[in-house]
Order: sequence, then structure tokens, then C-alpha cells
Amino acid sequence: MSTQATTPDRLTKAVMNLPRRDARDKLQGRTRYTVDDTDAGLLHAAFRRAEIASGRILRIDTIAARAMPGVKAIATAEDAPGLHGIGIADHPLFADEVVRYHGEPLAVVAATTLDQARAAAAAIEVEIEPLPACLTMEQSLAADAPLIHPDWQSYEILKDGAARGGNVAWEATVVRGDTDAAFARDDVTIVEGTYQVGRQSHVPFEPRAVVADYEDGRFHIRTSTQVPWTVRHVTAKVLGVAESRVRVTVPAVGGGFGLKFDCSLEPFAAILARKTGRRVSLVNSRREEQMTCLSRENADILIRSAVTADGRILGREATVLMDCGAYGGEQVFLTTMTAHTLGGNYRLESVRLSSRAVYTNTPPNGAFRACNGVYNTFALERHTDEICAAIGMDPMEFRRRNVVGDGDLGATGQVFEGDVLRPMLDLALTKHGPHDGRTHTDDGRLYGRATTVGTWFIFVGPSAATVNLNADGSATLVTSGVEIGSGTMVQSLPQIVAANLGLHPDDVIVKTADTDASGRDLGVGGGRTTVSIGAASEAACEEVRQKLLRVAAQMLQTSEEQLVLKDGRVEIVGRPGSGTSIQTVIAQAEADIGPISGSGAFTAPGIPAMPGCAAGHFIDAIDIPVFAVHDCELAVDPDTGAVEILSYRVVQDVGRALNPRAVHSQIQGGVTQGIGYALHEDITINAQGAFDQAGFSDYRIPTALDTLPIDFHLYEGAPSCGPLGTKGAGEVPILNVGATIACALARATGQAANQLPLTAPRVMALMDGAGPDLRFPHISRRWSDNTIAFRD
Amino acid sequence: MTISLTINGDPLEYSGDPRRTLLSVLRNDLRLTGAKEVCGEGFCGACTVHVDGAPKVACLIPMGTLSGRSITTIEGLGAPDMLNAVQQAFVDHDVVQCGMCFPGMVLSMSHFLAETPHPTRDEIKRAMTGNLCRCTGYERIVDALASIAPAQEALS
Amino acid sequence: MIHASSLQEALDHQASGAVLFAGGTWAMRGPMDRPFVTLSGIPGLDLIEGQGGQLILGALVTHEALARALSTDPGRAALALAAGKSATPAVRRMATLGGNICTADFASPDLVPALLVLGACVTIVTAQGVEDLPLADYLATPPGPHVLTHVKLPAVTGRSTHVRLMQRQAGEYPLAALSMALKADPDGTIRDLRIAVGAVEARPRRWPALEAALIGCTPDPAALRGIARDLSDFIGRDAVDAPGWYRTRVLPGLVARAFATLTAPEGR
Repeated sequence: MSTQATTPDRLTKAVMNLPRRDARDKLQGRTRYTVDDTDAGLLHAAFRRAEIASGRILRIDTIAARAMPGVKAIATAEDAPGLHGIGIADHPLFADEVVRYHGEPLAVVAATTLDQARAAAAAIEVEIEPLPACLTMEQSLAADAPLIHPDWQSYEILKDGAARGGNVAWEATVVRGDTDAAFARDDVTIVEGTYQVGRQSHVPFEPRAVVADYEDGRFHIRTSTQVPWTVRHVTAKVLGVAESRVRVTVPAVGGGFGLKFDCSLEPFAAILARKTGRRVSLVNSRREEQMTCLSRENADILIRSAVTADGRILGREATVLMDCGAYGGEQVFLTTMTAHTLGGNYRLESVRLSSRAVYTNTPPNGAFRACNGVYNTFALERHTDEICAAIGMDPMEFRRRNVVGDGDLGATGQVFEGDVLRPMLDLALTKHGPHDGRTHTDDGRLYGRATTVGTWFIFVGPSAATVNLNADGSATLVTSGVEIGSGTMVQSLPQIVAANLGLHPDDVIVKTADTDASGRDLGVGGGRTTVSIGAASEAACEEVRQKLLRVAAQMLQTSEEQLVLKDGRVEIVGRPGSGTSIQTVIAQAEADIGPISGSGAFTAPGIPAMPGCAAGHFIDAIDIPVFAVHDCELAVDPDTGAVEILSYRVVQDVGRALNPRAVHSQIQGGVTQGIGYALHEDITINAQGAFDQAGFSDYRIPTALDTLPIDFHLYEGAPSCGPLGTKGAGEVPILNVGATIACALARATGQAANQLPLTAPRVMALMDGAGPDLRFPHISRRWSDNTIAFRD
Repeated sequence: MTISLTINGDPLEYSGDPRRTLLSVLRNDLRLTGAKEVCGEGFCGACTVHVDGAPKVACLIPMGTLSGRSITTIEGLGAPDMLNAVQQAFVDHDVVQCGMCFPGMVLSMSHFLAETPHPTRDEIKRAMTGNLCRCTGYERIVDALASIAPAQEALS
Repeated sequence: MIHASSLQEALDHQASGAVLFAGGTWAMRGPMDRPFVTLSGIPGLDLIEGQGGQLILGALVTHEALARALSTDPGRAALALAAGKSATPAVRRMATLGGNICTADFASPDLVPALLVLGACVTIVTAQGVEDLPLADYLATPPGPHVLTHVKLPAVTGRSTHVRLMQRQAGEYPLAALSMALKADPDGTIRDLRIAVGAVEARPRRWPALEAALIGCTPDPAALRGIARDLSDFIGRDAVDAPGWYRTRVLPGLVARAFATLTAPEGR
């Protein structure tokens, strides 16, 4: 059987606007999310959190609280001695000896009612001696800064090879070619820019929530997560039990956006379940959810480029400081991404990048849709426009000349396959027309338009799938995928399985994650579900298919090569109706070989980078790049600084769109989230180290009036190792939004829009010539000074 | 003091703390979890219910003010096997994502369309400003609503 | 939670420490260990009644009812706009006129600037009896324990409008709000002008210096901005939603916008 011969057919069968099967229940209020587990008999848990950014714990006395009505158990640091983390194990479950951020858990209480748990948590006696705090990266990197982790050298290293030290949790560097020589040439213009972004809060409507039970000596954790296997691993690690003693299942998840791509509340609830022998529910209040959000990190960025008059980028040096908050967390991994986001888009003849996760005494940050990419694309695209202004070249022309194409090198020396970005740019220009010289709207506001490019990737990695054929001719797909709202579990996965087995997707039952039943998986995020779980599912289907065809060939007295699976039947090629129903074959198979099932697996193919370029990276090259071109027109009110988006247009590289309508939904939603990031969603950290924005009254997510219909074009055919040529489509829509709005706003106002979000007061200040001070005393213009690995 | 009201047509005699929110009673006592507690401050609309037919946010309504009132939650809208026109349009246009905002969205917009049978797109969006959604970016929901706006008789 | 069926009952409970409860949109977000006394059982507090040119509004009239009742009243458009653009549709069905005025620690009540330019008086009931007083006086010197029962708006002859500046297009408190009531001669000369500003300082207030400077003038938009800038004596309030400088910085633009609306040929 030839895979090549069947691919077009499978693709044709797979592509459809399959509606979601979970919509009816969600619309009728019947879907039970983790927060909806309100059954009688549950215990409810509440935290006591630190209300100081940095301090030494002198006393935590739970005796009085323990005696309060309804209280069943209280857990503190002594119940969870282990440290966890990504790359380095630096994170205790509870603050132990020291407090490193406002909101850090000190204790957690389980009681009969939530009110009782909260009252008891408040009654715990806590004495903390304040210590000096570093609330900004500038403070953390000062020569005399207090160390947030004085014992950093003693931490267990989970991934070797990175430079660390002091308040730098992790450093990833890229060195390719000789930037010194490029910057020293006399025929280059040197362009330098600094950029700053604040944090963004995910605001999933279902907060982080868990219900934990202790059953037959094992933990059963029902949780609102994107990463059941990470939850299993971390819970076991901090509790000091074998991973096999933890089972994780995941109901419908009420939004994730990356926030739930890490273990969070689960171990706390697990400890309380073990202590009480009861089911324990732990749900963040909205205030807690906001105040301890593992936000998209704030970042300070310096880029310097040496560019020739004809627009060649001979050298680029950049330093990206990513605030990881009090613990390394996801930012340790995300230092890797700078090479492919800020180091992406354009051909660079030489490049040096320093990407550092910096500890501060602030709530830890995490992963958020196109994490790292969003702000590096903003910085890179603003910098690109500044280069164009400096050398007097049209920004579109500069981009056309420089975007990476077939055979070009990425920052770490990986070789890109196929011309994708340039044809996408050309398509955008043809579709949207050239930029004209408009400076004002008809009603007198300032007008600006920008077109930007962006590079993102699919975070592939291991996935497993099992497909069981049922006697009724349906199939059950068992994976560790979870449905977080994007629709992958109810659309692209059943579409893929159905296309492979000649079924209708409605006849594919999709079982969501249960670590006791489904194979290991990296989780739902990074645009990987359709690609990685989809590829594993295809592999599982292949085994099922082979078994089916072998039995059917016997039954139909023909060869397997002559058989196709179609419309729930096994047919002989070219003779419709000549075969038999799949049920008949399944019944025969039960007699001959037993029930039919197949298993499949997938992992990253591992595209090579140039040896020696990258240090401290978790991946050296990106397996599936994803490109995007965004175009935005906007108007700025000179009286108020208010920005109105007049048009927003997207050309997105999707590989193949299996469900174009669902991709449209992702684009509309992702761009809208990006509009919030670019314009409204601001997090400020006060002198106590806490966020000023504690809820919906101050943290401004877009309303229906703050967005507009997003025009989009799905660009198909770019190379991808994903099943049927797919790439994930859910993450990337947010990638260039901050970049495009900032570039358009800079054109409208003639000012350097180099800080996000561009709230109305910030825009007003820019127009008044009172923009932010982005001189960044904590970032040296001498690149090597911004590294541990290359410092003199 | 006992407060008598009806919830989805069923009588309820409530004698707890009158300051407790309707939302808490729906979710924790009656296990009607279709109304979601999201912001808890009236901004997001995820806990929207009908009080005597008008959409209000259950997180800000104390039980003590509900004597004699008739409450309809998402569970009480239509019948299990029968979607109303708004729900059906949301299915047909495949606009649901995580789903947390949709019970409130359905209740708000069903009322709006009953009152405003021929809305403009802008009117639909203004009516939706009290129902925040983090997933969808709204416009496809507006498309779905616009598609049924002229067919008001279908609204139960 | 106590249900008052008369004003006297409400006053009695208030005297013993209960918090007055109207629409609940503020009360329910505060501490829950307080006793509340509801006013909805007291007759007449949801009344909307015209008497001659005067309009009497009960304290329990909701924002939604207000916006609806005033939708065809160009003289009181400021109040209709302020009510109709506040908060969210569901909250407008719950939040009341009285609650908006009486939440003393809220800097951005939508209705108050509009009421100020419309010359509102409030009726309050205290242990001493019933008293009518101008809203401005009420705000300046909050009386002792009382129930605000009604708002009275005098007859109007001019036009009014309300400008509400937000970061987003809806669903948040204003960063700055400006109400304007204008009576002009056919040649454009300003005969009477009232301007009130909300959200900028701790409480909304009139802008007498600008009103005085403009009466008798026929200002063009550029001049108007300049005069407003020169005569601004507001001290902007720093808060999480916006810095103080921004609130005052935008006022000239809001003045120009309101004025343009009121002098546009078609009215609104």
C-alpha cells in the first residue's frame, strides 16, 4: 500500500467544516468543567498567601486555625519538601523559610465549606520579616542587588548546558558569524533600538481549578489543565511519591491560552486529599487567579543592526531580558525561542543573541499563546521599520528583500525549506494594495498603516495515540489531548481519524486525557495538538487499517492493495458496493485475531542546527516554522490618544487547513486577544510587589466593541511534517498583532511606539513628546556584557 | 425568614442568609452550574440569568431581594432536546469555543433579539458588551446572531 | 437583610447600622457581614414623572429605565447618554439613580455630572423631615443619616450632551466624563452654559471658570480648546485606570467634542 497514493484522497476526505460536538451542551449549560464539581461531600480548600514581595518567614502557626469550625486539614511547606521547575528545580510548592513574591502560598486549608476554609486560612498566624526586594529586572541586575535565590548553585539541574548566575535564572545565547566585523565596517548604518513590553494576563474564564481524591493508595486528580502528564510528574515530584501513584483526568477546560501549560494547584489539593481521605476542591478566586497569573512575561529588549545601504543585514546583536518572576518556570524554556522569533523573519549574515530569564520578587510568569514570539516580533518589526527610516528604504521593499526563503539560514544555522514568507507578503500586497500616503482619516484623526511579518513554530515533541475499533463500526481515539476550547479534540482529530479509516468523524469517539489510559504527551499547547497527536493518531490508524484490510482481503478473496476504506465499508478499488461493511470485517476479525486496535506514536523529527551556534537552548532548530503576515490600518484620536483599528488583515501559513471555519475562529479570537495586548491590557506592579489589576474592573480584556471582523487568507502548501501537511493554527494569530499595531501607530503619530501596551495615556504621552525612558541602564551596548558565557 | 421564588418553574423556599448571591445558591445548592462565576463583579455576564424575563447578573443579586420572582437559568431555557434560535444559530455557525461565556451570552442575546427584532450589527455588539468572551473575538457570534435576527418568530 | 416598607423604617434601621440597599451593584461587592436595608418596598421610589416642565425621578429608577424614559428628550440628553452608556446592559437594569449619587467614595459616577448640568435638586429624608437641596450642595456637604428619595430636574430649554472617555469602547468606568448643557442664540452666541466633569477628581463638579468665560462668546473649536486648557483648575486623580495628568490633559478635547455635538445642526 502506497502512502503517497492515498495522501490526496485522505486530505480531501479530512477537509471539512465539521461542527463541534460539544457545542450543544456548552450552550445549554450542561458541560461540567472542573469548577462545576460542586457535589455534596466535597471539601473546599483555600490558601493563605504571602502579602509581601520578599521576606524571611519567622513563624507560621496553624494551631488556632486547625481548631476552627469545619477545618479538616492544613498543609504547609513541611508537607511538600520537593523542588520542581523547568531546566532547574528552583520552585518549592509552599514558601519555605523565605517568601519570594506577593501571593506565594504559605499554607492551604481544607474545610467543609469554602467560607470555613477561608476563615481558617485568615486565622493562621504568620510572622514574616521583610527583606529587600527586586521588583524590576533593572533592580535585579544591579551590581549590588540582593540574590533572590542565594542557593542557586545548589539547585538540581534538569537540563545541562546553560549559563546561570546571580539573579539570572537561565541564559540562552546564539553566536553565528562575526558581528564585530560587521559592525566595524564603514559601509554600514548601525541602527539601535530599545523596546519594552508589560505582562499580559490570560484571563481564562475558568480559573485554575482542581478536585483531588486519594483512591486505593493513589492520587486521582481531576483538573483544568493543558498538560496532564506534567501535572502527574510535578505532583509526584513535590510529594515525593512515584509518578505511577498519580492519575490525572481532565474534564472540559474553560480556556487555557497557555496559563494551564504548567502544574499549578494540583499538588496542593493532592496533599489535602491524602491528609483528609476526602475529595478536595481547590479553585482560584478571580482575584487569586489575576494576582498569581503566570502571565506573558514583561521584557526589556535591545537590538542593534549593521545594515548596508541596499538593505542587507550584515550583523545583528540583541539582548532580550525576560522577567521570570520569583521562579524560573516557563521562561527558562522560552529563552530558547528568541533565536527563532527575534532571530527569525530575516536573513542575517551574522548574529549574536542573548536571551535571559531574570529573577525578580514578583509573581512567576508562564506561557501565553505564542509566548516570547509576540513581543520579540513587536521589537523586531519596530526595529525593522527604524532600519528602513535610517537607510531610507520602503519598509515593504526591505521586507521583501530580506525575509527568509528556501535554503536560507535561520539564526542558529538551520536551513529553511521552501519560499513561504515572500509569496505571503506578495499576496498580502496584491490583496490589500500598496500603502498610500494617507496621513489623516476623513474625521481628522491620525492615520497609519503597517504590514509586518512574523515567524512562529509548532512545538512538536512526543505524543501517543490508540485507536480501538468497536463492533458497531465506530472507532475510539484515546490520547492525552484535552479540549481547551480550540476545538482540536472535537474537530481536527476526529477528522483525521475518520479520513484514515473511511468513517464519518461523528463515528469517531474521542477520549480525552486520562493518564491511566492514554499514552504520554507533552500537552495541548504550542500549536502541537493537530500536528503531534494527529500524527500519532494517523500512525495508530495505519495499524488498524492494516489489520482490517488483512482480514477483509481474506473475506473478499482479494489482495489488501485492492481494498479501500470508504463510508464505513471496505470496498474493492473501482468496484463500489462490491465490498462489505466495516462491522462485518470487525466481527470476522474478533473471531480470527481478536478486536482490532492500533497504537501510534510521534516525536519531533529534529531538524539540525549549525553545531556550536546555540548554547543553553532546549531545542536548537524549529521543526515546523509557521509564518504570518499581518496588515493593520488604524486611527489615533489626537485629543485623547484613543486608537481605533480600522482594518485588520491576516495571511497565515497553515500548511493545510483541515477545518477552515475553525481556523477562522482561531484567527478572529487570537487577533482580538492581540488587540487587547497591544492597546488595553496593562499589568502594573506596585511597591508591595503586587499587581494593581486584581479583577475585571481594572484588567481590560476586549469587549465586542473593541474588535472588528478580521479579514484572513489561509496560505496553504508550505512544507510541514504534520499529518496531511497541517500546521497548528491556534497559536499564531496573536503573533504579530502587537507588532502591527505598534508599527501602524508609529506611522500615524510619527513617534517611536516602542512600548506595549499602547494605552491611551501612553499614546497621548508619545504625541506630547513625553514618551517612556527606554535607555535601559541594565543592558549594555556591548553585547558580551549582557551574557555570563561571553563576558570578558 | 423564608423567601419564596421559582427557579425554572420550580418553587424554591429559601431560608438561608438573604445576602447570599443567587449565583451561589444556583451553583452550590441547586447544582445548576450553567451560570458561571467568572468575574464576580458584574463585568463579564457569565452568570446572567433572567429575573422575571430580564437578563441580570446573578453574582450581584442577593437572595433576599427575590421574593416572588421568577428566575430562568440556562438550564430552564427551552427543553433539553430543543435549542432556541440563538442556541441553534451558535451551533450552526460553530461559534462556541471554551464555552464558559455562552450560557450568559445566550440568555442576554435571546432577550435582546426578542426586544429588538431587526438590530443593526452595531446594536448587536452594544447589547453584547456585558458578555465578555476571551476565546472567540465576538465577530462570528455577531454573524450568527445577525443571521437569525429577521426570523424572530423562531425564538421561543 | 431587612425590607423597609416605609422611609421611617429605613431611617430607623440605618440609625442602628444597616446599609441602604438599592440596586445592589455596589453593596454586593463590599463586605458581606453588614446588615442591609432594602428600599424596594417603599412606594414611589421608582417613579418617573413630569410635572409641568419639571421631571421627578425616584431614587430606585434604574439606569436602563432612565435612558429609556429620556430617549426623546434632547434637553436631558446628557442624562440619557450617561445612563445609557454606563456599565453593561445587565448592570444598567440593576443599578439605580440613587445608588449612583450616594456611593460617595466612587469618583466616576456616570449620572452625577449630567445631573449637575441639568440643575438637579435632590430630596432627602432625615429624622428631621423632608428636605430639597441642590445636588451640588448635597455633594459638597454630605448630610448626616438620610435616605435620598428623589431627584428633581427643572424645566430645560437648551440642549445637553455627555462625553464619556474610556480605554475600551464599553464595560468600564470612565477615565474622564464631561456633561454640557447649552443654550445659544440663533447666531451661535452662548447664552447659558453649564459644564460638569466627572472621574477626574475625587467627586464630579461643575467647571464654573470655563462656563463664565464662554457665556456671551461665539467660540471656534480651536479657541475653545485653548480657553479650556487655560482655565482648567482640575487636579487629576491618579488611579490604576489612568494617571491624573491624562484625565486633565484630555479635558479640552472633551469640551470641544461636547460643544461640537451641541452646536451641530441636527442636534445630536
